[in-house]
This record gives sequence, C-alpha cells and structure tokens, in this order.
Amino acid sequence: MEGFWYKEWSQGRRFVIKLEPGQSLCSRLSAFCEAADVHNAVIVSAVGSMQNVRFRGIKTGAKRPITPPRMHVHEVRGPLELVGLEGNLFPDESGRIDHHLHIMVGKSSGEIVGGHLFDAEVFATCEIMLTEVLVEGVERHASVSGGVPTIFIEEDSSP
Amino acid sequence: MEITRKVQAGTLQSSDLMIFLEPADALVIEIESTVKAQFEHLIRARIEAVLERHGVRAGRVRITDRGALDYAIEARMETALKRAKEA
Amino acid sequence: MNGFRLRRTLLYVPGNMPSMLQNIPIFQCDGVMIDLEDAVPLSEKDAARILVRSFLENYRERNKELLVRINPLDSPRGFDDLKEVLPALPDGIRLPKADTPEIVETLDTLLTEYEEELGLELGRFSILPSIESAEGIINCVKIARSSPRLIGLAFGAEDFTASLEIERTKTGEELFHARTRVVWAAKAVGIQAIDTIFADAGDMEGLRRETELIKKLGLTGKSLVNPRQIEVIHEVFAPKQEEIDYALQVIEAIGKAREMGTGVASLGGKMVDAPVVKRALRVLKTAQAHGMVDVELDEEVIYGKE
Repeated sequence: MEGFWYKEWSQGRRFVIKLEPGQSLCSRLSAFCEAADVHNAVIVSAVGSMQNVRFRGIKTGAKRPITPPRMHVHEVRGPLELVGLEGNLFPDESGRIDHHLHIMVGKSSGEIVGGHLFDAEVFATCEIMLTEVLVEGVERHASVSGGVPTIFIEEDSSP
Repeated sequence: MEITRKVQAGTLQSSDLMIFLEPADALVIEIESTVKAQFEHLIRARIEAVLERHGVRAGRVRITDRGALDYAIEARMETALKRAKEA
Repeated sequence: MNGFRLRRTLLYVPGNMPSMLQNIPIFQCDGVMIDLEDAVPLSEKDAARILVRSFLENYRERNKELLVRINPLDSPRGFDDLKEVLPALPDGIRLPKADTPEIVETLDTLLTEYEEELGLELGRFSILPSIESAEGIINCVKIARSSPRLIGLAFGAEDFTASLEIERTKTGEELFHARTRVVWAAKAVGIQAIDTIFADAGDMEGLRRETELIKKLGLTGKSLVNPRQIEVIHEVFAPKQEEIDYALQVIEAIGKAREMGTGVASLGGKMVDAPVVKRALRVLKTAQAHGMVDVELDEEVIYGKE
C-alpha cells in the first residue's frame, strides 16, 4: 500500500460525558477511559466553556520533527466558548490511554483560535459525546521523524 | 579539482586583489602587487594553501594585489574556484 | 529590558569591500551591519558572502555588535547568505523586506536549525527585521511579536517611500506616522526601534534635526551609511548633564525614602512616582553606557522588594 495504512473499526459503546468546572479536560478524559474501560475512542462532539487553554501552532517554514523551538505555544486565559474538539484516544506502548486532540475556542469578539491541544481547564461546563472504537493493533507511538506522538496501524494478515 | 574555464574574482580596490584563473597544464601562480617585495611569498603561500585544500594541481593563477590581507586573499581565491566549478 | 544594550548607531558596511570591513574594529558606532544586499551588485553576491564569512572567521575579539544584512528570503540568495555566514558566528541577522510575521518566523526556524547543526545555544542568533513597505508598517505590530529573537524593529524609509511612490524629504513629514507606529509596535513588546538612514552625509544639521525628532518620538537608534555621522547621533542620544543630575537626585530621594520606610519619595515638593523613577533609571543606564557617570544602580533599592 502506497503512503497510507488503514484498518476497519466497529462502533463500541457511546457515551455522554459531563466534566466538572475547574477540571483539566485531558486528565478527566483519561480518567473516564479508565473508569469505563475504554481503550480507543473518537470525540463526536464537545461543547462548553474553557479557560487557561494551552495549545500550539507550528511556525512558518518549520521542518520535521516539530520540536519546541519550532512551535508557538499559546496560553489563553479566557474564559472562552468551546467551539470544537477534534481528535481520538488510543493506548500508547505502555497501554496508558493517550489522546491527540485539536481544539477550537471562541473569544468574546467572535474570533476563533485553536491548534494542537496541550490542556485546558473547564470553565462553566463541558459536555462531550464520545464513541468507543473497537479495533486491535492501533497504538500511539512517539514518532521520531514527526516529533509528535502519532498512531501506528499494524498490518493484520486478514484482507 | 580541475580548472576547466576562465574566471575572475575580486576587485582592484585598495586592500583587495584581483584573481584571474584559467586552465593550464601545470600550476602557475603569477603575482603582481603594490607590496610585492615584502609580501609576495606570503601571498603565494596563502594562494597555494587554498589550492591545496581544493585539490587543484594545474591552472594559471594571475594575481593583481592591492595590499589584501590573508582573509581577503583566501576569500577571493575560494570565489574564483567556486566560479570555475559552476557549469 | 533584558540586557540594556545601546544601539544608537548601526553602521552599514558594504560586504564586498575589504577596505571597509577591515575598519570595523575602529569605527566608534555601537553596532555594524555588514551588507550583502543593496551594497553588493548581483554579479558579486557569491564573492561578498565568502569574503564576509572569511572576515568574520578572522575577527574573533569583537568590540561591537555584528549583524549581517542578508538578501531577502523571497529568493535563494538570502538562504545562501545564511548558509555561508552563520558558521562564522555573527551576533544576528538584519532581515530586509520583513513585510509579514511569517517571513520572520521562517528566519527564526532556519536559525534554530543552524544553531542545532552548529551545536550552539538555541536562540543565540538575534533578528532585526527591516520594516520598509506599506505592508510592513501595517503588519509591524504582529511582526514585533513574531519571534523571541527580535532585538528591535528597524524602519527603512528608502524602500518605504518607494512603496508609497512618494519622495523621501529631509523634513520627513511623510514618515511621521510610519515611525510612530514602529515605535508603538516595538515598545509594546519591549524591544528597540531603530530609525532609517539619513542619506546626505554632508548635511550634519539636517542629520541632527532628524535625530532629535526621532529621539523625541521614542526611537532608540539610527542606521547610517557614513561613519562621519556617528558622532552627531551619539551627541543627540547622550543624556544632557541636567537630565543626569536630576536622575541622580531622584534615585537619592528614593534611597532616603526607603531608609525612612515611607513608600513615596518626594523631590522639590513633587511626588516621585514610578514613571519618574523608571525614566531616571533609563537616563542613568544610558549615561553609564556613555561613560558619563559611574553609579551603582541597585534595582532592589529603587523599586523596593515585594
């Protein structure tokens, strides 16, 4: 296969999750996965309001791997409307659930900012709809060339 | 490195030197300088060092020096060789 | 400001002229910008960058800040300049045609790669972008924030007036808004603002007038092409003796107030508030850099502890 890998996954359980104000979005998502014994998941939707949002953009002209000097880290105090949360959760080599999330948040001016999410704190509320992904052989490993953990899909022999 | 064509580098301003480089069977270095008596041998040594570094065995190097210091001699020689290499 | 460094005079030196390069150690300016761009004809770009690298390699004990003005990054020449000269360790790069934050970011990431390749401390190379077009002026607020490597914003009137298709005049009304905007953008992030060159090296009075104007506007230094202009610019930027005397009195009043435990000091019946102290400190630091005064500036005494 040329330049791509793929694997079919089937839909597992579907959850609605409500995060408590003041909580860290990323740590609560990991805690949920443990509590509900979810190993892989995809974010279907997420709305609410966030503060102290830490995310990064990649500098113009940067080459791989994306190391700290090649990124702009933004910290927006907010509070901001949570306009979008894209991403997925897969276990890393050690089996711990690792997330790769991109966030969009809206300022009072209506201006939207966002990027690769490091973490964010729930402000008033956070309602997440999530679907469990049933699949084997998909893990997130640190990618030396990319500089950012990325999913690896093992080829299984079945067609 | 082979000298395959005629090139030049440098200027005739003071503290600079002009280098003309062209293909030849043997290595010939001709030096004309405002300070020829005291410095010719030093200029020659500096030119030979650069030619050595670039593995140049043959070629005619004509130099018109206006009191250039070592860094300028080396730089202009390197530029001449670079221009000789360009297709 | 991190590391108070005087940049009253930044002298352009043509990159393809050994006679001028060799004078760099003896020029009395605060910094030098070795020029691989406008001062070097197209046919000599290759020769100039090799000459400059060779010169920098042999000029180790430096007595002033050394920047290299590379060619713009919208052509391979700018990249070739960096490749040749960075290993010879200039202090920083003056980037021409810095019209957008993205072009400064591009230079920022390139310098990071060279620092990694050469095993240097990350962030070692500084950047001084030239704001020299209508687009550059519009974007200079974002440009000022585009990289931690920036030591200042440098205004370039020659290309700026060309981009507006207007004349560059000696009285400079046409540059007024552009200069103030560059100052605001730079001061908002705590970096310096460097003014454009004054082309007529014979008109010392015109130079003095222009330098007094830009100092009043908040610019902290000036680019120049002729060493003869250095002294006039330094005179204008040097604090006046009465300014120094007053600043010393302010610091003394603060010291006394601290001893007596009162929060606010007064001088000649007037309250000495924070901006007055800040200005006094800046005058004394500048005076010290001019060698006009030798005073111990204990910031803890001056600003007090938490």
